[in-house]
Parts: sequence; C-alpha cells; structure tokens
Amino acid sequence: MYLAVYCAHLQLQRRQLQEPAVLVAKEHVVQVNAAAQRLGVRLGMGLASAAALCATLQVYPYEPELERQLLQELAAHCYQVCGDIILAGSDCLIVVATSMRALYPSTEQLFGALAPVIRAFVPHFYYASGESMEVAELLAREQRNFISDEASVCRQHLARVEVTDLLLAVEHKQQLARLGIERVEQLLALPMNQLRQRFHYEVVDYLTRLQGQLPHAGLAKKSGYYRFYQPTQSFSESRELNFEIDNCERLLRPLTQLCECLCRYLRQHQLHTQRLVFSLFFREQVALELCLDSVEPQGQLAPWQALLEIKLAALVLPAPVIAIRLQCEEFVSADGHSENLFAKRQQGLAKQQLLSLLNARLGPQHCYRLQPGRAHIPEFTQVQEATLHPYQDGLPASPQALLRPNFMIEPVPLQEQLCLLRGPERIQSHWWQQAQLERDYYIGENSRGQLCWVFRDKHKGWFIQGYFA
Amino acid sequence: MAGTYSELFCQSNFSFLTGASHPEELVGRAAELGYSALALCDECSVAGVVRAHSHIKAQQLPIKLIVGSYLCYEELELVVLCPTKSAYSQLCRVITNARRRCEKGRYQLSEWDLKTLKGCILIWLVHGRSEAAKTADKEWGPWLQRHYGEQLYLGVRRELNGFEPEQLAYIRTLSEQWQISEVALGAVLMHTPERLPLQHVLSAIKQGQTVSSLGQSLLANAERALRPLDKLAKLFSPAQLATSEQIAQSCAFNLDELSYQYPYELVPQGLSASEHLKSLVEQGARKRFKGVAPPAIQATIDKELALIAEQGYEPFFLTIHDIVQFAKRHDILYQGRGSAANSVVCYCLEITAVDPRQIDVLFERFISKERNEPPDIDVDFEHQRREEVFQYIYQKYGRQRAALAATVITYRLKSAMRDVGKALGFSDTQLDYYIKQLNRRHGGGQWQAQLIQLGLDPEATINQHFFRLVDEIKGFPRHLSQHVGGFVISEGPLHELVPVENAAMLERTVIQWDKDDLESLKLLKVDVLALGMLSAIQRSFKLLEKHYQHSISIADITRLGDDPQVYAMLQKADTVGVFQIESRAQMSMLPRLKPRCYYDLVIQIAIVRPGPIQGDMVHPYLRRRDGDEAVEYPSKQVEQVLKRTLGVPIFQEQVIKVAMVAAGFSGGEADQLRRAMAKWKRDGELTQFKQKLIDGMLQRGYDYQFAERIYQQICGFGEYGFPESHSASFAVLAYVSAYLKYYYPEVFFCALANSLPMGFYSLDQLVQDARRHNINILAVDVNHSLWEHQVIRQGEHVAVRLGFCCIKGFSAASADKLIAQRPTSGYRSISELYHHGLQEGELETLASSNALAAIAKDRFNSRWQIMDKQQRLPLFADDESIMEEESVLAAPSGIQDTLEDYASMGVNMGAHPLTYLRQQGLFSNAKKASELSQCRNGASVTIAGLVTGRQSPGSAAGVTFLTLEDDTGNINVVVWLATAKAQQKAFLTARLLEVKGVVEHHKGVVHVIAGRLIDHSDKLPALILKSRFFH
Repeated sequence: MYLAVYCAHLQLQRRQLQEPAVLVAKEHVVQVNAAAQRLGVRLGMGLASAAALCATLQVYPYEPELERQLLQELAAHCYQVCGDIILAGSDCLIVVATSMRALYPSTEQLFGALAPVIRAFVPHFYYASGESMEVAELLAREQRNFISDEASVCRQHLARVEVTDLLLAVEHKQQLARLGIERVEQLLALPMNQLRQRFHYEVVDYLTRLQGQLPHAGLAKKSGYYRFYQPTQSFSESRELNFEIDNCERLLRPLTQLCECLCRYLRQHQLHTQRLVFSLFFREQVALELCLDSVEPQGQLAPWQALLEIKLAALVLPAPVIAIRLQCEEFVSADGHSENLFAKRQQGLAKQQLLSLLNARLGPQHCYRLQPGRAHIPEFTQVQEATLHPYQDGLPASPQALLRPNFMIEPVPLQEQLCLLRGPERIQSHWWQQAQLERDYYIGENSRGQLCWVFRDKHKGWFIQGYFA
Repeated sequence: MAGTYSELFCQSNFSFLTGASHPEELVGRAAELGYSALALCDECSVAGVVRAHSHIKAQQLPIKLIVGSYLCYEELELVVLCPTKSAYSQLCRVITNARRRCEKGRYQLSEWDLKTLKGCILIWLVHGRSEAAKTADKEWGPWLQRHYGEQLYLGVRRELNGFEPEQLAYIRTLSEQWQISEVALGAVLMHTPERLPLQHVLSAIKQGQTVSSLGQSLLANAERALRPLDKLAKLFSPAQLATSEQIAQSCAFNLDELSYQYPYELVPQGLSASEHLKSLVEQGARKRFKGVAPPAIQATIDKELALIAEQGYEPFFLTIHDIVQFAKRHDILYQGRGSAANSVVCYCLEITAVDPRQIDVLFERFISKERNEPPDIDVDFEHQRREEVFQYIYQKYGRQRAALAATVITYRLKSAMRDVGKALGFSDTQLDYYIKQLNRRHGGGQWQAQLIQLGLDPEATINQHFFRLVDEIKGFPRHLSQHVGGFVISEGPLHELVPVENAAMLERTVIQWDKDDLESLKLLKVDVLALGMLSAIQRSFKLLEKHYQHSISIADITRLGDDPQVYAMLQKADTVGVFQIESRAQMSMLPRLKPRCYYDLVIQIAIVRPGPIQGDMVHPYLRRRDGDEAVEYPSKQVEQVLKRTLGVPIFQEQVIKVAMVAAGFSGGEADQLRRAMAKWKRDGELTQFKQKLIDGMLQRGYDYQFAERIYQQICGFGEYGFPESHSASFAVLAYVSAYLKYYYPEVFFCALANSLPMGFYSLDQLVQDARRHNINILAVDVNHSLWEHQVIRQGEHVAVRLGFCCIKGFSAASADKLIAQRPTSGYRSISELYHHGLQEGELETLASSNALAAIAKDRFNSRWQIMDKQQRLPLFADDESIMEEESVLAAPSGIQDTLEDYASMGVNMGAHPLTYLRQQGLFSNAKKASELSQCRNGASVTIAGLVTGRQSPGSAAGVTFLTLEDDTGNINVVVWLATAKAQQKAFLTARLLEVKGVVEHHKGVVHVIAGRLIDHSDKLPALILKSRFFH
C-alpha cells in the first residue's frame, strides 16, 4: 500500500501570501492562491485575463527547480518519521506504507504521524492511499483525501477518475477521448490484450500499474519524474538545555559543544564548510537563527569559535533559550583547503579570516569591498560588493583605457591656481541613478609641479579629484 | 561666429538603435541653429532621406539636404556623400549590393564596391586608438588616396572625450603624410543634447544589456548632438569649418531630381505611351459599351486622358492594365479600387468592373490635381492566387526592376515599454505584467496613469525616466518590413533610384522607402493586394457555370441594377458571409440605415468605422435620412462637399475637403493633414493641425462644436482611414456577394466555405447560418466527398456536401489518393481503405469525423478497429471478417457526437449543444434567439447561448457587444461598462453564458441589455469552441 501527499501550488504556498497572487510561466497562470481563486483566477488562464480579474494581483515567476528543491526539503522533514519516500514531479510525495508496517501498523497511523510534519511545512495539501504508487498519486492529485488499506475502496475511487486527469501524455489522453472513453472504469473494463494492440507501451504500462498488476514496484521509466528520496549530506544537531539560559556568555559553552560535534563530523567526512546556522529556541517566541559565515571554508574549531564569540558578543537575547540546534548543509571537500606552508597563502588566509571576523561583528549588510567598474564617472568606477562574493581580480575587459590618475580622492573644492594642460574631457552620465552628472575634466599642474585631475561641474565650481604624480 | 556651417555626418534613427532623432527633427533643428546644409548618412541606408527632404520642403526650411551614407568595411569607416545624381546612383547600387549579400538587417561590402564609388565624396574616419588600427590606416591611406584623390577628406570629430588630444594629433599626422584635407564633422546622433538618455537606452537595447551595466560603452557625453555655431567655431579650426562648407557647396544633388520612369516596354514601337493608352481605352470602350461610347461618357474619357497625359501617368495605367490582363488571361478574379480606379478609363481598361453609368457616382473620381496626389489604384486579386501575380511581375520585369515598397516598423507603446523597461533594468515578469494590464478592456486614461495605479511609484527617478523615454521612443523605426503588396517597377534598374534589400521572406526584396516616401517623390507604386472575397466570388461564378450554366461576371451583376429583393435581405441584416457588412456592428446598422441602392451601401460600409463614430456623425446622418432632422449646411461651399451625405461628413475625402473649404487649408496643408491622419496613432502628429483647423473654421463663421466634431472625426479616420473611393469599390463586392447569397445560397455558401479562412465567421458559423436558410448540408462521406466542399444538384434539389478539407489532420495528398482509387460503387469496408495505402492516423481522423459512417460502425468503434495494429499485419490483410468484430465501445451519445464533430472538423453536424442542454432541463426559462423579436420592448428576459463573439470597439466607450449563439440563431447582447466590471468573472471567461436582461427594439434591431451574467461553462466541460475576440 502506498500513501501519496500532493502539495498543490507548493512554491506559491511557501510564500504564505494573504493577497491574491499567482505564479506564471510563459505568460500563463500555473499556480494560484486561494485569494486569487476567489476572484475567478484559474490555472491555465492567460496573464492578461488574470490581471483583468484582479487589478492588485501579485505575479511571480514559476521556478520549477525551486519547487523541486522545496519538495526535497519537505521530504527531508518527512524522513524524520518515515523512510522509503518517493518524490513525484515537483509537488507530490509518495510513501511506501507497507515497508513502514513495523512502525505504523496501518496507513492511517502512518498518515497520522506524517500529517503534522507536512502541515508545518505547507498549510494545504491533499492525500490518498492506493495499491500502487501511481494510484495513490493519481487519487491524491484528484484531491480525494482518504486513507484506506482496503484495495476495494481504492479501486472504487479509481473507477470514478476521469481519463483527462490520468498522468499520461496529452496525445494519449486525446486518443482515449476520441474513443468516447471518459472514465477509468470504462478503460479498465477493456481487455488488456485489446488495449495492447492499440496503444503505446506507456499507456499499457501505466494502466497495468494502476491496476497494481506489476509484480514489483520499480519506478516507472519516466525520466526523473519519480525518484527515491535520498537524505542529503547535512549536519544537524540539537540540544535540549537542562536549564534556561538568558546570558550569551553562558550560551557560548553549549554552542561550542555543538561546534565540536560538527568539526568531528567534518573531520570524519573530510569536509569543510563556509556557513553554520545556529537556531536558538525559546519557550514562546519564534526561534532565532544565527548564521556564521566564513569567507574561506573551514574545518577547524578555533576559527569558528572565534567567530561565534564575536557573534554572541553583539547578541541580545529576547528571552531565555531552552534549546539549541546547529545545522550545516553546505560543504566543500577538505582536499582543496588543506593548509600549506606558503607564506602568501597564510597571509591571504589571514585577510580572509579578518573579513570573516568583520562580517560576523558588523553583519554582512555593513561589510563591502570595492570592485573596479567601467563607468565614465570615477565615483561609479568602484562598485560596492558584498565581501562574501567570490573575489574577482582586475578590471573587466575594456577596449581602451582612459587616462586616469593613480591617486583618486573624494572631490574637494579646488583651492589653488592651476595651469591646465589637457582637457576638457566632458562627462554627462548616470542620469538613471540621480540627476545627471555633468563635468568637464582637465589635467592641470599646480605650483608644486603636481599633476592634478580636476573638474568643473555644471555650476561652474572647480574640484580636484586626483593626482597623477 | 559670423559664418555658417554644414554638418556632413549625421545619423538619424534610421541607423536603427543608434541615432536618437527623427530625420525631420535633425533638419528642423539644424535649420534653427543656422546650419547651411546637413548630410543625412545613415548606416548603409538612405531610408530616412525622403522624410528629411519632405520636411524641408513642407516647412520651407533654409537648409540644404545632402544625401549620404555611413559605411563600414573591415577596419575602414567612411562617410560617403553624393554630390551628383550619378554619385547617388552609385551609392544606391553599392548599398543594394552590400545589403543583398546578407540576410535582412545586415550588410557586407566588398573592396570592389568601394572602388565603384567614383563620383562620391568620401570622408575617412580614423581614431588611431590602437596599434592595430594605426597599422590598418597605414594600408588604407594610400589605397583611398589612389582611388579618390581630391574627393577624399579626413573627418575631424570633437567629441570632448578622454582620447581627443591624441586622436587630433594622429589625424593631423595622417593629413600631412598623405596630403588629405581635414574637415569638421559633428558625427551627430541627436538633434538636441536632451536626447542623450534615449541614445543610451538605444545602445542598451542594441547590446541587450541594461544601461547601468554598459559603463564606458555608452556615449560619455551629449557632444554628438547638433551644436550651436559659436561652439563649433571654438572647437574647430577655420580651415576645417571652411572645408565642410566647401564640400556642402559642391553637393548639388537634390532628391527632386529623381525622375523615375515607368517601364516603356509595354508601349509598342512607333507609338507614344499616350497614343497607346488612348487606343487601348478606345478598344475597351467599344467592348464595354457595345460599340460606341455615349457622348457624355466619351467626353469624360477625353477629359480623363488629357489629365493623365498632363501628369505623365500613362505608363502607370499601362502597367496596371498589363497586370490585370495577365490575371484575366489566367482567370484570376480581380477588382480595382481607389480614386483613380473609379474612372471611366479604368472601366475601359478593365481594371474595374463597375459600370460608371450604373453607378452614378457623384464624387470627384479622378486624380485630384489641386491636392497634388498621385493616382491611387489598388488592385485586389483572389487571395489564394495573388502569388501568381507577384511571380508574373518578377518574371516580366526582373528583380532588378521590380521590388516591394517597405513598411517601416516602428516602436508602439508595448514594444517601447518592453525594450525601454529592459534597458532600465525592470524584470521581465514585471514588464509582462504591466503590458498585459494595459490590454484591459476598461483601461481608459493614460498609460502612465494606469501603471501608477498598478503600483509603479511615480516619484521614483527611474520610473520618471521610464515614462519619458517610452514616450520618446514611440514612433522610432525599428526595422524595415515589406509592404503588403505595393510594387515599384521601373524602366531602368531600381537600385539606381533607391537601394534594394532583402526582406525577411525568402525571395522577396524591398526598397528602402515606404509608401509615404514614394508619394513624396511622386514615384508611383502598384498595389497588388489579396482579397478573400474575390476568391469566393470567383468560385461562385465557376459553380454557377457548372451547375446552372450561367456565365456571369461582376460587371454583369452590377449592370442588372439595384435589386429590391437583395436589398430587402440586407435590410433584415441577413448578411453572414456578405463582404464588409457581415460584422456585428454592420449588422446592427443595416436595419437602421436600410440600404436601398448602391450608394447607400457605399455609405453603409464607410459609416461603421471609427472616423464617423468618433466624430459623432452616425446619428445625425440616420436622423436626417429618416427625415427626423432638417438637412442643413453651414455654408454653400460645405454644401458642395457634403450634399450627397446629407450634410454629414462620412468619408475621409470629405473631412479633408471640409478642412480646405471651411478652415482654409491649402492643397499642400491638406496633403500633410492626410498623411498625418495615417500616422496619427503612431506619432500623434495630428494635434498640430487641431488649432489651425478650429481657428480657421471659427474665423470663417462656423460654430465651435462643428469644428470640434470635424477634428474628432479626423482623429477617428487616423485609426482607420476609409475613403469614399475604396468604399465604392467594396460596395460593389458587397452587393455582388449579397446577390449571390440571395439567389444562389448553396453556391455562395459552398464558395465561401472553400475560400476560408477569410471574413468574420468560421466554417461552423457559416454552416449554422446555412442551415437556418434551409440549405441542405451533407456530412463528409468517404464515398462521396471531394477535397473541397461541393454543390450537389439533382433537378430542383440542391445540397452542399462537405469536403475532406475540413477534417483536421487529413492531408490533401491522402484525399487525392482516396478519391482517385475510389471504386464507382464506393468503398465497402475499412480494410479496403487500408489496402489503398492510407495511414492509420489519417484513417482515424476519417473515423472520428464520421466520414466512415456509411461503411463502418459508429465513429468510436470504427476508430477502435482502425487502431488495432494486428489488423495491419500482412497475415490478416485479406481477412475482412476480422475487421467486423463486435462493438467493444458504447456508441456516442448526441452530445459526444457534437463534441467529436467539433474536435475533428470544427463543424457541428448534429444538433446545437444548447439543444442537448435544453433536453437535460437546463435553460427552460430562457428565450430562444428566434423568439426575441416577439418580445415587447423593455421586457425582462433570460437568454442563454455560447459566446461566439466579444467585441469592445474603441469607439463604443467601454460597451462590449457579446454575440450568443443558441440553437435558433445569434443574440446580440449589450454589456455596459458597469455591468461588465461588476461581473468580470462571468463576463471575461464564460464560454456558455446565461444572461438576464431587458429586450430593446430599435428600428428592427433587437438587443438584450445585459443585467446579470451567469457563467455555465462547466455544463459543457470539454466543448472545444473558440470564442473569437475582437478588441
């Protein structure tokens, strides 16, 4: 027996929007939330019609990969209560109920354990049981919402399914419709050998599976549609605290213990990581997440501990902590990051560690580095970029370099007499960011013989912005 | 600066996605700045020059236009200027060669091309920014000097960029090294510096990136705009400026010199074109008027011929005569239209079939001399055979001498929003959403306001730029496309007149000018258009000949005069399939206008158009026609113009004439007005005429309201101009099709169905209408059908048998095979069909369409049988018994039959879906379409039907007209804006709709004004019936 859970509109549901919202692909609605449904927005509708029905409609692009990822996450949650999970498409989970009989004697009980886990992840879902995984999936997608270990009950449900709803290619379903076959019961009443003489292998195979007549439950040969859930390589360790902790200093110890566990895990698996996620649980408030990011992948306790100390120093606990968890899901192989003896590398690492420390101390939103850009206006030739981005050396390729000073400064009003040697180079740009900048740049020599880079703005004010020597 | 300046390098927006100003703006601004000349040098193109030229002429600007082009070959950049006509021809030839070598939109020069630009002036552009460039320059320098000598110059650009000092020095070196004079160039891309953001956006669109990501690839500043003379004097040396002036003075070529010659090969040796035309007209007159033309007609002919001779238009008429003679020889039906087409000369030349005596046209039906327009003759051909005419023209004149006119595809609101939005970094989804929202029926208001309502922050700088840039880019040319059928044919090679380039369609070439450009230069084009109705009429004539032994032509039918019975049918709005007056809007006008004669039809066709509707001219006309309102004229002159339409302007020519007589527009201004009308939607050019029109009319004593209405009507014509001359020709076809529908309904239906797709209605709708007219429609039958639908006549019994062509997925080749091998007694079984090599898939489609009903079981079981792969094994080939197995599947129910009909043919051969629903007890209270005329005016009714039409004409102020089809006919439902808004869900999405509303009778027209709309689409879940939307 199989149990299927169909999470309709998974990607949209995860957004948890109250306002009318849809996901679109190729200008057609592919997911729609309840608020939009109430206004008449339907699946398959063109974006124009949907927009005409609801002027405040929120539209987001449908991302199939993201949805598959979400399903994978859901499966990971479900894996806590049951094994043997099959992912179907991007929005349906199938659990092999019979293989869990030792834990859950009936499918009903299995569902009882599974439902709260799923509900915590996605508020609305549909479910059904079936003799084969295809039946369970079909009936769940049909939103039958029943659980039974009786094969006859499942068959009754199956018989009433319309042929147009079968999970078959459109051309096969059209073929059936053109024969006046509207319901599954009509289809199943036809002799299998007659069907075999007329229909594609896929149809016959699917029907056989629907009837539960295949001896073993191998996955159907649809490329990637069905796949077994395999737990991802991830680390997660929780601790129930014996007493509440309301002080960050005292929290450091148990958190460091979790870190030690992780480092052990990393060593065993020869891995490094760049990101740790601590969760602090409170009695009433929502859990608090602390992310530690390292610019360089790390596997040792010391650097992580240093970062953790800095992070905790800046933290104010909203309430006493009752439990903690450390999760780590992104790993890199330790091979490429073994420490070596070259000094440059060591220095580089020190710089990276400093960046990590700064990030942890100030928060990534306050930590930038400057990257060269190719704008006309010098201020915009340096682009702010988060320090955690991979660093790119050098300028993007430019057809020809403009003459620019080596020492650039913030523009300051020019206070001295200059002898202009070259110019003007007129720049009128960046109208899209603010009021258009208009400057005439010159190279001038001051009384000390310095070559200065100066400009005159549109109010005829003179400024100095750099020195060539 | 005391002197003056000539800009010798200026690119307009015809250098697509580079130039940021229209050619008109460039010459206009240059004249304002006091430039003495401006050379328009778009990249490998002269597409913009005529616009600049016309603008200079129309505005009488004190500036000379120099025609040129900017060409790139390998590392070489050149500005090529045309001092003489022969140099211009050389340039056109080179551009043609370069363009014809590549796919649309690209070009590829060769060294040989450059060598042949002997008469042109070349300005060499160098920058010397890299060693590679300098090396290349070293090679090109002597080469250029050897080939062009004194005609070669070095361009000096002052763009105030960071490279300038080195670049100027480098140019100086080259100039001294090879003794090439330097000349000042602006390298202009914009007419004012304010266009810089737009130029940046165009660059971003071209490179497919956002503006902010382009960095130094963008122009650094706005120096590539037209600059004031005093500034230029500071930037360039007097010598450089003087050289530009000197070059400009040497350029004497003017586009007006292009005298274009129609092919003279149509004129026999020893005769002049005039003599030949005259003799053809005389021959034609003898044929048309059975001997000698009546004196009055002869006098008109003489007058027309004199006018043609005066303007030198003989070869134009001869060319069209030649083309229609080809069509006649090959039995392709055609019909001329346009102002000149309604002349007696055209009747004699058999260009039109409208007997001028029968159609007592009162309007000026010839070339309008004072308006200085070229003769307007469009010839429509049967749409299914127009390609033959194209091929004839190419074959006769060769690709060198015949090409299609271009159509300039410009940015419209939505394309502008998309491209500008992307360049500014808006996301695709966001843009999609905004653009879709603008589609909304009840949009109203400005697009900016709509976007603000949708949440676009009007205060954000980027959004303000978006609003402004979208408006600026609208009307910018995007690329050249081919005109629907406007041919330019010349005596000599066309590429000496204008460059020719490849169109997107294989084997098609287009010139670089569009129809306005041709008109400006008084070059004639022949419009070879396709018209579906001509195919239908031609097919009708052939069927009449075959089944009734009547040989009849359009001319014969018009000669019979106005037939009251045909008009009675039109007055009842029984016009499904009748040319031009079959739309819902036309149908509701017919009972009100009650056409009684040909000219009424001319008006009928023209009145249901945005022009008269927006000008609020429809109701005054109807009131005057019904005698409810006195016919008055504001003045004698206006009376002359508007007399035949009872004082109400209906036609495009009339409003233009009113502008002339009532507002004092000169001939030239009227001509500009006419062109602006055609471009109104695109460029909004009309507004400049508004004040002049209204002031002019007020000054001459007309009241403000009349003036305002005329202006509104002009705007309406801009959306869909409709001149009387075209309406007159269309009215002939409307009458002929109505005549055929009335007297030979089966023949007309069959011909129409075989000419699909065309017109307003699908085959299914035509079939429903035919059935309501008691035409016996026979289903497709494997033993009787042909590929096309056919008329079956046995004695008095006439029927139409549907052909295999309406079965989706059944090919003509299979039909041919099936028909060719069909035994005289017909096929007896499915296996017999197998043996004739028909594919399984095609047999299945035959089964599903019920074409096998005569030889097999119901369609489900026949299809089931055909699908059996075992039956096709050679072992079973001759065993017919296997095929005749027991029915496995249930036979289709009535509604399943209907659904299968729709699915396999798109035509319902059984009962209407509403009949089945009524049988199930649904809609028992609903009135049928046939019962509505008996309901009293104002009665509350419930109706139900399939939604087959949703029309929301822009002119109807938010009102939507729904057409519901039930088992007895069509019902017109009027949905007011408020009703639609309150019940959007049902209004927008329902396919099967129940409407509770009020019946309204008005002069024979029955509507239901919708109150409540109830969507019943779920009652017919699988019904495949596509509702047709018209916006």
